[in-house]
Amino acid sequence: MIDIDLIISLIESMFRISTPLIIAAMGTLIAERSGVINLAIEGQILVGAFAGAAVTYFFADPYLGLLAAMFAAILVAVLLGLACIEGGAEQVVSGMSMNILVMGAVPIIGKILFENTGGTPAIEMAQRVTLSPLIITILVPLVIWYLLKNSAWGLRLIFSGERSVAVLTAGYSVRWLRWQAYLLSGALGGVAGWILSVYLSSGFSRGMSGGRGFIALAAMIMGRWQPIPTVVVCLFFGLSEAVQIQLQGIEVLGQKVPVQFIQILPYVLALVVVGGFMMRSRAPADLGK
Amino acid sequence: MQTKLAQMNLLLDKMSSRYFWILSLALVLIGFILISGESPAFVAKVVWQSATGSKYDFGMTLFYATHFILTGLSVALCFRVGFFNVGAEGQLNMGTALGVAASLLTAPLGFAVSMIAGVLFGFLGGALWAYIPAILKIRRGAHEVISTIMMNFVASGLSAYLILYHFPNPDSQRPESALIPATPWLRDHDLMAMSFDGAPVSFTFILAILLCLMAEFWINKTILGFSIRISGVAPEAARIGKIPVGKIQLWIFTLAGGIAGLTFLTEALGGTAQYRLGFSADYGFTGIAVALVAANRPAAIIFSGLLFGVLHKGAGGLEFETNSLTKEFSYIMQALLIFIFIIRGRRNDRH
Repeated sequence: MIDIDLIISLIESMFRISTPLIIAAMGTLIAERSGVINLAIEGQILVGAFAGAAVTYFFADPYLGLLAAMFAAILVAVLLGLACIEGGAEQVVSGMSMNILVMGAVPIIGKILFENTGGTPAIEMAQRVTLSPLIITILVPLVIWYLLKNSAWGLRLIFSGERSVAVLTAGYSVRWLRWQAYLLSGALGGVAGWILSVYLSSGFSRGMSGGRGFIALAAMIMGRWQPIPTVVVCLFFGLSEAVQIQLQGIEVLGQKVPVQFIQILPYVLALVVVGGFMMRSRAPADLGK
Repeated sequence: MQTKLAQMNLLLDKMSSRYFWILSLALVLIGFILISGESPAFVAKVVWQSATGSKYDFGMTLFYATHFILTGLSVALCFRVGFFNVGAEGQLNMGTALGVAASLLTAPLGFAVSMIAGVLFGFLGGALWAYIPAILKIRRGAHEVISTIMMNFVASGLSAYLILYHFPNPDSQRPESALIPATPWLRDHDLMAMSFDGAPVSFTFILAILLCLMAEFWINKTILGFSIRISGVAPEAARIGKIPVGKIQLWIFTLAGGIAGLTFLTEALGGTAQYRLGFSADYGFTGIAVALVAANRPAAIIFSGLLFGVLHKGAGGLEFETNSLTKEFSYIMQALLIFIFIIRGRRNDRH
């Protein structure tokens, strides 16, 4: 018989584990709707996780950590924006390079601060957060959905991505709108990182982002660049990760399934999603221009 | 008479010139070094010393360079047809794992068979790992950056499974494979290894250079090479000219994966004659930097790979000689180098 406790615990894990994905996916969504590709989301999550954990540790206040995480990630976004919007560099390569830059900077800063290139010192239970990430995760997609659907700013943003010349004709600056999108996207990436290290764990550990930025991108693509479907896909990914944790150690046909096969499940799922085996979708028309 | 607006536009114009950016990046780098409490001159000296100080050191540099040339060529070839191969890491992983497995399986048949099997499966493993995201892109429009990154993660898991469950080293507790029997004999006869005091560098370095030269000739001097170049530069024009762009992209991507998979040789002939979990110091990602710095030209990859080999080995030296910089410093250098090469200065209007 199906164990009801297991189901409840799986659903609970699904919501918890999806939170960073949802926030990150919202970030990438804003960016891409405005016509810029924020591939640096992975680095923003990583640096947000690091900064969030480090500052929370030093000041024993998780919300200061949240601000630090957002600040660090916005910094990454600023550098990316400078390279792409002002410097005319190609967006996909720049995003990946920012990820590489973050991969290099974080361990060094970690060594300077903590004598340790791996993780930050553990954060006490009292300083971690329990409820606010869930509230944030429910509010952010709703706010974004509302803004995109019902506000003038949202409309301009959408047009920046679909037909930027229309925005220019109306007298608004596409460049400024896209900068705003970069900054917001970065901030959300930082929040996602903070959630990873301060809510889902008790500190930063090396390589903590684990490809989540890219999974968020995959979720956005499958979600057809719209907030609510993207959230659903993220929940799906969260479920796969939750299930993966439960599945480790089970047996199939009498043989214990090697742990590696289970660990790769979320990534295989992302492949299936990106391969469009579930649904075809269309990117914003002026993306990347 | 200059208005404020005109003055501001002039300033913005200067700012978007690429030399302004290069200068800024150099300043940022120096600033970072200073903030971490080191002297830039000292850092430069340590990096150079560590990379070229002794025969063994230089041998290590060349060893790393071999990896970078292979992955750099892989990424560059893909860029030439308009694809971004972020999956070199997974391709080299699968190639090396499958190559080691094949080598070990055929070991009883003798050194020659064992190594040939290894190279074959190394190439095929990498090629397969590139074929999957390539076909997904061609047939279903899947974004190759995301799919190749996912393939990297899957490769990491599957190769670990293959080696740990089926070819573990019986003499050691570490997560590594058994040793390839052919290697000691091969290294005893390897000119490169002998010239550099036993450093892990091997004949594969020469092979990598040859591959680059062959690729340069092929891309630039043959008709097929022209088709390849056109597929990347002007795919619509190519299609009108009846060039099968999709097919070319698919097979170049697959070939590139195979080249990355040849990393098997670097490890088999050099490293430690085995597959060690985590042996790759992000060689695949560095390949991206190598390719971009070489402007995707195969002959330039040789020099770009050497440059990054120097940086990589040199950064390792930083770990020992400085208090706060670690080997990850080479990532920062990589990223800055990439930016120097891809920032063009804004060409379009300021809106």
